[in-house]
Amino acid sequence: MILSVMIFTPFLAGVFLYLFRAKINFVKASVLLVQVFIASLAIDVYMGFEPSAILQFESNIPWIPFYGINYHIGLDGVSLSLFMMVALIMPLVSIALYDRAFVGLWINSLIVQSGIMGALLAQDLMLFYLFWETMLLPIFFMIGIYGYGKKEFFSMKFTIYTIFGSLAMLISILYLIISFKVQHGFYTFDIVSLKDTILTHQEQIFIFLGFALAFGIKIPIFPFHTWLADTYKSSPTIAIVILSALMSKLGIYAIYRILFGIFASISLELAHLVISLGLASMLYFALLAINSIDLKKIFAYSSASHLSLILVGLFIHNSTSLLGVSLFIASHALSTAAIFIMIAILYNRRESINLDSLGGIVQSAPLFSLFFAFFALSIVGIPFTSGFVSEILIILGSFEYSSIVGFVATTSILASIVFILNVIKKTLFGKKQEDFKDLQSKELLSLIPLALLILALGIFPNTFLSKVKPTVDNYSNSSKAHYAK
Amino acid sequence: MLQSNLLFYILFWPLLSAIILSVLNLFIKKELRSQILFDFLSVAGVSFSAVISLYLAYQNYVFSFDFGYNIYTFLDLESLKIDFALKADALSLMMLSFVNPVGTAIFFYALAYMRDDRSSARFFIYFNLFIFFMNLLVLGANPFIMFLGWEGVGIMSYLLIGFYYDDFSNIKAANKAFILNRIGDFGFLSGIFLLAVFIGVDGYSFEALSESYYKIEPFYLNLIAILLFVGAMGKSAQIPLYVWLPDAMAGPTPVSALIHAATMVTAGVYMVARFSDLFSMVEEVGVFIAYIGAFSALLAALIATKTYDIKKILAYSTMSQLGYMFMAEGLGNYSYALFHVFTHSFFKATLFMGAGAIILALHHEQDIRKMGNLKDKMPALFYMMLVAALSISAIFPFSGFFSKDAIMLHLFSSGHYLIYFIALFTSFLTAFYMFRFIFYIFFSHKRDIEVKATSKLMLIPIGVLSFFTIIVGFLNTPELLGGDERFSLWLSLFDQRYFVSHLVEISLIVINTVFILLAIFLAYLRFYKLIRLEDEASTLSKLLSNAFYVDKIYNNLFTKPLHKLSCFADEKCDIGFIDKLINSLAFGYIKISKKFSVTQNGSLNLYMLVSLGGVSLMMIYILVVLL
Repeated sequence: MILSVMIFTPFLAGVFLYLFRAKINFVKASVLLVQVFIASLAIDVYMGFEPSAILQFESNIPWIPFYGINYHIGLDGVSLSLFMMVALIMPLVSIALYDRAFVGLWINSLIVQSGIMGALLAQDLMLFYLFWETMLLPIFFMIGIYGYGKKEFFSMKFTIYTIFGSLAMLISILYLIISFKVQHGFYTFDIVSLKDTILTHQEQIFIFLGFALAFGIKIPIFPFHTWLADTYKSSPTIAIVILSALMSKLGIYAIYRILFGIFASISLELAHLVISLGLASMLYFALLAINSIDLKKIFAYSSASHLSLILVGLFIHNSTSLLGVSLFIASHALSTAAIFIMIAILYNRRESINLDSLGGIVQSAPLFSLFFAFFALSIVGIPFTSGFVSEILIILGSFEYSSIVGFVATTSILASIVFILNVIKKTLFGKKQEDFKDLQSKELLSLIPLALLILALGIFPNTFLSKVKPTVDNYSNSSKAHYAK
Repeated sequence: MLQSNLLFYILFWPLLSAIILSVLNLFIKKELRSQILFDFLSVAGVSFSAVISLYLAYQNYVFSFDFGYNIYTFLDLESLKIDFALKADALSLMMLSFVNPVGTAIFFYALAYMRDDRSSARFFIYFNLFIFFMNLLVLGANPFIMFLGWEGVGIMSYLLIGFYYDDFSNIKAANKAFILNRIGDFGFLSGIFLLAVFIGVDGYSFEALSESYYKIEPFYLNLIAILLFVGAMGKSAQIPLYVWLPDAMAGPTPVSALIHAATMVTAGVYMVARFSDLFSMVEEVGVFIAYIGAFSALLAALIATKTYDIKKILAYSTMSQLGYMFMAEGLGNYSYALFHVFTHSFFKATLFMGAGAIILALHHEQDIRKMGNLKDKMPALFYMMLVAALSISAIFPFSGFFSKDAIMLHLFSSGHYLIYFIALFTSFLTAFYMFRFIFYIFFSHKRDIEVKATSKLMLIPIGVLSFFTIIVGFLNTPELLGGDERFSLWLSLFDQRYFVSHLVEISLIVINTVFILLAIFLAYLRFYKLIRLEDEASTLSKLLSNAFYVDKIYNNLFTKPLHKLSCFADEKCDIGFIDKLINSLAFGYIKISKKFSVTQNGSLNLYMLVSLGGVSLMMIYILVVLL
């Protein structure tokens, strides 16, 4: 029940605010209120979350019984970290960007929050697909209406890209459902039951690829990434934060939940291919970032590079790397959200995010510099930040998988450092330029919790990891069984 | 147990200092600050740690107590449990017994040095955090906690090198240090993770690991040893990862004294000693380490003879001395290496702090060619630095003699004569460049230079350390001189010992001392009354004064190609190929649809024609096929 409240409150509030044509101040306040409410519910859920592998806070109501479609939602160790991040990051972003005067952005951010939450909690394939599409449209409007530069073209490009993936996924879903119906005589969209569908090897690969295309575009994986940099460059900050901090991880989550849930054996069979692709794209994205001078573009690639590493951890699929994936999802969400908020602040004050025209900020804005450097370095993974622990876990998992993969994965500690240090240097340091207004209290109000969360997860990772460990062990045992075969 | 709690406090006090300082720094305006409070907070943490460290070291030395303290479980993985645990045995307490006390001296010195700097609070925040991470590195009970400290000191080093951030070249030096250290970390991290994968199941503490090294296949054992050493190469500035150390001198001088001479750069030596049971199982890797150490020592000493920046001379000298330590470790004697670490921290800190005092007195002048004749103006400083210079040159009875001589003896008796000769030649060079340094600064041309008075607060720490420079050598007096090598006995590492006759020992000492005296004499002839500057004509001296152009070579070999590759990936591969392909799919679709749209042009005649055609075809079909 509590999860349903969390899914639908933002959506209903959004529709309500839209229909009643509320004034901007009222919209701002009520959006923030709703998001804070959701966040507090999420903390409550987290406290009550039992460290076990089963689905918790479950509700399962028949929706379209003839086709076996149920309103089935629940939370488990797979979704826990992203669930917490969606609930916590949205209000923090709203606080930081409280100045925005566009009603549309605020309302759309509520609706997209519902979409992400729903997709994350859905245990039914049809429900999942529904929410997956729900979150796309608000982003389309956010970029297309409130973006910068060639926003129409890029919002269109992004949408077509994503819909193309969704189409492939829909075909896969329908093929799967009908195969199940033919074999068992009834329809079901339940992810757990669909595991029993008997498919030939070839069919499995095609269905797998259909899903993988949709998720791969969302993450994005090389070579489906060309929407990334342009879209980020022309998006308003809130859309970037949602895209990079939350929605990209939804792709990871969906692989975890659906591909590993339904096609465990084929996933493990293709694992080495995906791992190679992931490692290559991790290095490739880092390479792309080195010569860029646009901050949004650099961090877009940096984020993509880390997401590739998460993907590697996912397909390595042993206990250590899966723990790393769970932690990395949280860590990456926190760091990217924070850094894109900082970039927005930077853009507000300097009217530029081009590296060559920045610099000399540290003298007049020590707090800004402290936070900027901290968040940037947390992406590189300095000790006692969550980025460090999660990267280390995936690397350790890679070594458990194979030494070679381990060595290549370890290059990730080198991959991002070159451009991150360059960004810090060119953004903050150098001769003092015009005065730069330091962080204001409302900005601090959103950045301090982010920083504290990063530190808490980096210093006491085990308190969080112990909650997801049973789930992770459950998944990794299946891979052990597979490799034993 | 109370005493084990103390381990935690060694970490805790500097951290607390840093936290309180940061809070005060944020919320109290500069004008309203109480200087005494800030000064107290700056040095309190490290002083407490120093007292505790000395107390624990004493306990261990006398009663052989080891201390362990498990703070919490950091990570609980399926096949590996990583505790946030501290452990102090003889080795780590030996490290602490100079890290924190020498650190305290440098902190006091830094109070005076940073007095007029507007961001001295920030400086001491970083400095305290550095001490925290350094202690964590030394006290970590398993490789992972050690790695946390290892990374942490790297970050602090990065922040402190770039402390004067107005100048891009300082930031560049900081970035360089960080990146090269990270390359080393790549090795260290993969090494400790291979250990975790192979034998981590039976426990991941150093003790547990050392019981199962034999389970690892020899190939992997060699690999792990090399990887760990790569980490040491980065941190301890050995070939080929050394190029960051000279540039690191961009930081304030107390930083160079503490981080880039006395403590952090010796972390590599400490780490190899910590894994001494592993390294003693892989002799070939040991020889490799010894050669890297030998060539690093030689290269750095050669460059130092032609360097003019007062701090860079000392930086190269540090690298060279670190080379000695690795020679000893590579050939199997860890306690001699550590003893050299120990004495080195005293005399090198003295030299650096002295250099800092000179730099301040001369209004931030760092070129030794512009110095001279300072002996009469700064007599106290002269004698202190002379002591340190004699010590690093290994003249009896200064501490450097004991530590370096033990190493030389070990190198000779191990039978690796090439390494011994390199070490001997380097020792000659060391004395030469050190006395070049002394003569240039304190004698040479009698130019009149305006000198600012040096504050007492600065001189006292230098004096204290130079005093210890004289006496600490006796801690490890060799048997020849009536001692029993207490220091080595205390550490009781996996040392390889060769027994040689006293005659050989004495002749080695004599040969070494003769070479050193010769070098000092040569330096005296060349630089004591130097009036005109050295000429830079010959190829060799050009090569040396440009540090063998290694920076340029690295730049052309790595940095530039990386940028070119990045450009290529961005322009040709990403935009030029993949994106173009995907866009052309979309645009191609539009084009094709335009072709087909001709059929939908609204002309009734055309529609009629097509329908007629269709109907005719149907009729034909019916007539021919069905009838």
